[in-house]
Amino acid sequence: MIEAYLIHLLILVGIYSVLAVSLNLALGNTGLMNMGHIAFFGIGAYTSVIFTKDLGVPFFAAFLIAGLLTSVFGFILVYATRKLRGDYLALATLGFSFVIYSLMLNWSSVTRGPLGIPGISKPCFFGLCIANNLQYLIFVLIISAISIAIMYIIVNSSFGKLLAATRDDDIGLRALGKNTFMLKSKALMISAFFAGIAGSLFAHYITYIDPSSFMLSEVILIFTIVIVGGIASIKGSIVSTFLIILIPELLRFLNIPSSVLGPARQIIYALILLVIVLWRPKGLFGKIDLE
Amino acid sequence: MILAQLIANSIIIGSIYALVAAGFALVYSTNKFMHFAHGVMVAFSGYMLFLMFSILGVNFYISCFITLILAGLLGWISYRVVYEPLQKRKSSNVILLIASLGLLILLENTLMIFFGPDIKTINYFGIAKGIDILGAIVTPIQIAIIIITLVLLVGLYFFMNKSKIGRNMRAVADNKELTSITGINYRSIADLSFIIGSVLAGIAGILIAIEQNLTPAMGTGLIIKGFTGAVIGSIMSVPGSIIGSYILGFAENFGVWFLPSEYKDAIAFILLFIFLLFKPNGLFGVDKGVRNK
Amino acid sequence: MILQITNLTKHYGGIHALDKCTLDIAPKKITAIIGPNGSGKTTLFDAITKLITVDEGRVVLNGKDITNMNDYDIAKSGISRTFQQVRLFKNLTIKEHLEIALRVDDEKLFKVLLNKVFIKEKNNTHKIKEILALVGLDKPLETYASDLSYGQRKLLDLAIAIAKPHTILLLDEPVAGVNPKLRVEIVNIIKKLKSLGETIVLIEHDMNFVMGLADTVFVLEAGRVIANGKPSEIQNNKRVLEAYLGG
Repeated sequence: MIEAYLIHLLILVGIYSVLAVSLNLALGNTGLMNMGHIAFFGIGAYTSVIFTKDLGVPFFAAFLIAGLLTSVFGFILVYATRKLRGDYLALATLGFSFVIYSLMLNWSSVTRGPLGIPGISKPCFFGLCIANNLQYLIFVLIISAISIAIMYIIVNSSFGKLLAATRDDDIGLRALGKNTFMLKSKALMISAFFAGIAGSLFAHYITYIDPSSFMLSEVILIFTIVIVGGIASIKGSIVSTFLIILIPELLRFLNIPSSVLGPARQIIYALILLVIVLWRPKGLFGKIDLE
Repeated sequence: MILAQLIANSIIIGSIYALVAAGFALVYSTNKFMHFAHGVMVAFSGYMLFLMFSILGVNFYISCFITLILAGLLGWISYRVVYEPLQKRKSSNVILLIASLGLLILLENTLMIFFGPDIKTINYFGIAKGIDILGAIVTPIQIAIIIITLVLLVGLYFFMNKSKIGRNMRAVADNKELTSITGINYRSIADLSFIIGSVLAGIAGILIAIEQNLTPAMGTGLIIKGFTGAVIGSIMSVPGSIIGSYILGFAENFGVWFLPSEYKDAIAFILLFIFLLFKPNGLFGVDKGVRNK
Repeated sequence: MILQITNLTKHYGGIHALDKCTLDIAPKKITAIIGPNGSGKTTLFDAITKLITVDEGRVVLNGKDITNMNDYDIAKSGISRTFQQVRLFKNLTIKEHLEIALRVDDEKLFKVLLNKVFIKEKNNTHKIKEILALVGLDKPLETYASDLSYGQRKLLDLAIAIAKPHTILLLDEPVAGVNPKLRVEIVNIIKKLKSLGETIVLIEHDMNFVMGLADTVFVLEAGRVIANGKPSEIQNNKRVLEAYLGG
């Protein structure tokens, strides 16, 4: 019993760590204040499900399509918002996530609207299907490790240094002959790609998706993870995913009615976020101040 | 007359949005950051009225009065506890925005824990029969909403333009740096903007509580609408954001002529996104270019 | 002529920031652009490097019209510049700054990743040390830009402008706000750059500063070139003195 519960939590940690590290790549490493990251997660989830369930595409192909299509949305978002900075950029990207949310809710012929899509199959590879959660955990850990390793290599490469430079001074970098718009586009496309495959992993694990998994409160959750871990720190995002996913689970050991559990968890996230923003803007492992 | 009914509905919902947007724009124009938790002030006020009137049985008008005091107080505390320390550290607007979203989620879920997720109603005036005005059926409460909103907004306009405090607030809105030289105390102006803004939100909360239902998450929905109205008009201008809110009210009600009715909520999101991308200063804003940080 | 600027005009409302500004820059020389504050010197640099878009006029670099190019393409085609308010990347080290300036294809993600995984990235520490020695920035390579003093930042800004592949160097008030000792050092750096064959254009509001340094001087007033020539000729030009004393 406790084993199954731990496996469940670890699967979530694996999925959310990819989501958090990919947000940090845009937010921390590139300075793109993207509040639409949860929409990428949702686009990935719905794409993967629609391709496997309605179009009969094999899982792994759908998984990659989810990443690539989300990446296209990443480009659309960065292109549409290219003239915005600061809080206006944050709000336009938040607006983007509302637009995507209402599409999920209202485009019923494809998404089934608020009813959601149940009965999502577990991944199969050449006829071999994932049979239980332990196998799924191993699968998630492999994908997460590869994803995070790729992002780690990117941010520590000379390309990654350019991303950091555009965050610190965009005009200064352009004066050195670098096309910062293309840099930001690539960064957000990479970020969206990994959010998309995280969405695919999520959908095929939970086996049921509806628009409520991709709402404003979820935006706060992943922002909390990234900010607590520290801006531009991959290690921070991973450690923080563990903490943020696991801490509210302690509530289960108090005898709290289940109706209170959901709101209590949100309160914990919000409090942690406020405490970090107010008193420790570098987060746990960040070198860069949140500004 | 479906047209008359649509117009009436547009004005009623536009009034509610305008109350929310006016407070939001007031805080934004004086403080230059987005106080998203403003939405939860509406929900908080509705629930305070519910608590005092429906649970504790306090007289209705006294309940309303105390509710407004509590709303103002909560707004003021939010400023002093969360925003002011961040401002002192010269945090960017983005950080203040994130903090305001954190505050929104915090307060909203606190309401959820205390009052539960189910819908609450305050049935003080009973179910009144609608009155036929030029073919539109409007209840007395709805008429009251429109009148109260207009009176408040006109009052706010005169306060901002004619009183000394109001003029000081506008001076801060125009140039924060300059006002500290001229001896206007920024802190008390900021306090006041939060108190007035939150009381306006409180009035919106009371009106909604009487006319519709209460749910803990209503604040998020309303701030998105109020914010959208403000962006359409101009987030920098209280009158602009009021007009923008009525435009949103009309767009939502008339948009269902062109779109399937389930897209009603999506209209606001799409308008918001389009305006942020193409006209971030709104219809009535002075074009100072998109602000950098 | 390496850089030809013809009739550059920029209006802000009723103000002429640049008014049919025309000047030619000779190769391998130090050209100074002087003028009172607000005469359009920095606006001219911003127009050349496309930080602002002009209303009229043409900029030609090495025979190639760069007027309508993007700012980064202009930078790529050979114009290096410094800024009055230095533009550095505060969370990057000295070494990282110079690597960014030296590299030309670090924007190509897949190429970068292939190089990183399969081939060792090119080591350019030697080149970096050479440039730092040239500007006299004597700090450990791993120092973050945010930990540098004002003068050191000026030097690093100069170093990355030199490191970036270029045919012409635009220096925007290279000695503004620096102490007298560093001022002398920067003058020496500029002289040394000239001896290495660099083409240098510098902005300065102090006429005396450029006298011993520049080969040619252009004087701007209200966005127009009102005089040009050798420093000795400029020094006694009546119109120039009026502009300085009257302005």
